[in-house]
Amino acid sequence: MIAWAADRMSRTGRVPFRVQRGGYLTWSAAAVLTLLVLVAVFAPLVAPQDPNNGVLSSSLAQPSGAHLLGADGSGRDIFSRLVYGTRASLGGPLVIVLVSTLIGGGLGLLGGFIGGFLDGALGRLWDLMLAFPSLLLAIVIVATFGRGLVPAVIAISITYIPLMARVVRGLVVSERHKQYLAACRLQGFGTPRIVFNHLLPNISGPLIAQLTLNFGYALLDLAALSFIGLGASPPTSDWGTMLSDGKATILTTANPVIWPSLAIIVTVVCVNLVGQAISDRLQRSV
Amino acid sequence: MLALAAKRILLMPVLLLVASFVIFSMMYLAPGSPEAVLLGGKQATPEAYERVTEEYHLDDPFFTQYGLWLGRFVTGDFGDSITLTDSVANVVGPRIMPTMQLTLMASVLIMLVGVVLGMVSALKAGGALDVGISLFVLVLAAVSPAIMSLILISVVAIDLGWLPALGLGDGGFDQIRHLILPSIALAASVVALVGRTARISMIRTLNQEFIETARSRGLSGRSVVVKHAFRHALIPVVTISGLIVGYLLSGAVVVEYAFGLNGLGGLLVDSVQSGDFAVVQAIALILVFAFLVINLVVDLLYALIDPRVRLAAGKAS
Repeated sequence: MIAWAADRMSRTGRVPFRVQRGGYLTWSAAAVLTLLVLVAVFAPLVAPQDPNNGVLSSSLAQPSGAHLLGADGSGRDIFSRLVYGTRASLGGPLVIVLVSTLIGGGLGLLGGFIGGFLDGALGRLWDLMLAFPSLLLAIVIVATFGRGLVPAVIAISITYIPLMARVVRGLVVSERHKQYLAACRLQGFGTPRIVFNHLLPNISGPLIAQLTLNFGYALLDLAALSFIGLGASPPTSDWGTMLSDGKATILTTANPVIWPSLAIIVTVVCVNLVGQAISDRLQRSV
Repeated sequence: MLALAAKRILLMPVLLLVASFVIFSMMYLAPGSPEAVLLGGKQATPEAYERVTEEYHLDDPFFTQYGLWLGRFVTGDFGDSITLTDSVANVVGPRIMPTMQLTLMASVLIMLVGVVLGMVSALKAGGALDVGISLFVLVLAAVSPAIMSLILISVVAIDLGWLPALGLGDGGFDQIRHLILPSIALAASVVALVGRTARISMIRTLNQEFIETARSRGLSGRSVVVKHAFRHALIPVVTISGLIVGYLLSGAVVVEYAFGLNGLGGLLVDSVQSGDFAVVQAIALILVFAFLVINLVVDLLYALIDPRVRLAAGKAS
């Protein structure tokens, strides 16, 4: 949703405390993210119970020995659902970032490098896509192609394409007239070699920082779609679906919404800290 | 300035036209025949098929259909809602006001709280208060409208019982009261964004020469900050306000759903879930229109506020 704004922020929004390489905050954040990835990969080994089969007698149970974090309205173990939820909640944004970078970044590179009519036409296309508020575009796409995790991921990927195209194009345009590229051309290097061996490595730094931040925003967007019932649908569930399920029983207890909320907040804060550290380090080295 | 305004105003119908074309084409891109899509993919009587075919002129060439559809839209005839058995205009019309109120209240909150947090943080830069606010803002940025809605419902509405949790109440003042929590939920993560922007902008402004000049002329610290730095520091906040509008319109969908508000967003979610395609089309077009108009106004205001933008635009044209 807010990725475009953040794109501008990432260049201006320093935080006053130390989030640099070697800073304890950055390392803790990286450690938490690594742990989450391991949990996603080894979910069946970590989860104590079946995430989708609940016992109605333990409906809305509070945290206890039987249910580490309690149970939801259908009596399903919240901890196990959280563990399995890491797969969709981390895997979805990963796919979104990859797809939008390959397509959007690729087109941005093409437009920025070639320039001329193609660049102008692509620019108008991005203008048009950005005329839709991003979540609205995603909702319209889901309305067209049906609900589910895969359509939601595709829909959000599409909304990130113009953002990535603009970022990459901006980076390419700022490099295009630098001397090292002229030197490459003088030596008779082919375009693919110039682009992949020389141009891309030089813009990869800010690009990676942007991708990290996008991951956090994609996670929030996907959770938002799942929350309004247009994302992951049973039996797949992510943290957003858990929020949605918990909303139904919120008048009785807040316990089922607390844990997925915490999971989302902690993950996004950690991703942003790591992203900030990457871009800080790069800016210093320039 | 005039050239800039004219260019932006002329561009708008073009963007709207293309956006409407995309929204129209969706019913052909969706799996199944356009008749089936418009009827919500459910089993329908042959009469219903015939009625939809006639209403949308589905036997005509594609572009003729689009033209006729657009013509009806422009005159306010959005077709019929299949689930609510009423005209789309009647269904959608009453939903516009709550959404406008919600986003307006959230905007006021964002500007007040975000700017104050950022300015205080900047004036105490590096101090304990600054670090505290910045940490708070870092976490706030990760609290999406969905989560914030649930936190507010559970803590403020249910546990403390201070404000209503769901619905819009009985209209008038009661409706405003019902919109307090939703607008906070909608505003929260943007407050973080505005706070960060205002903070860094104020710090940069305070380091500029004109501030030093003002100080060297013996002006009091307060006067320098209020009269000289503040206005200049607000410019980047105005710059991102166009983005904030898009975010608010998106976030309103989630917040309205969470609080069960009968706004455009809540209706949009219901209509997508029930396959009420005509309503989805109408709301999508209304929101795109609102987004473009507000963005246009913001950009023009921006040019009015900051002479440099005006001058640059004048030179370019």
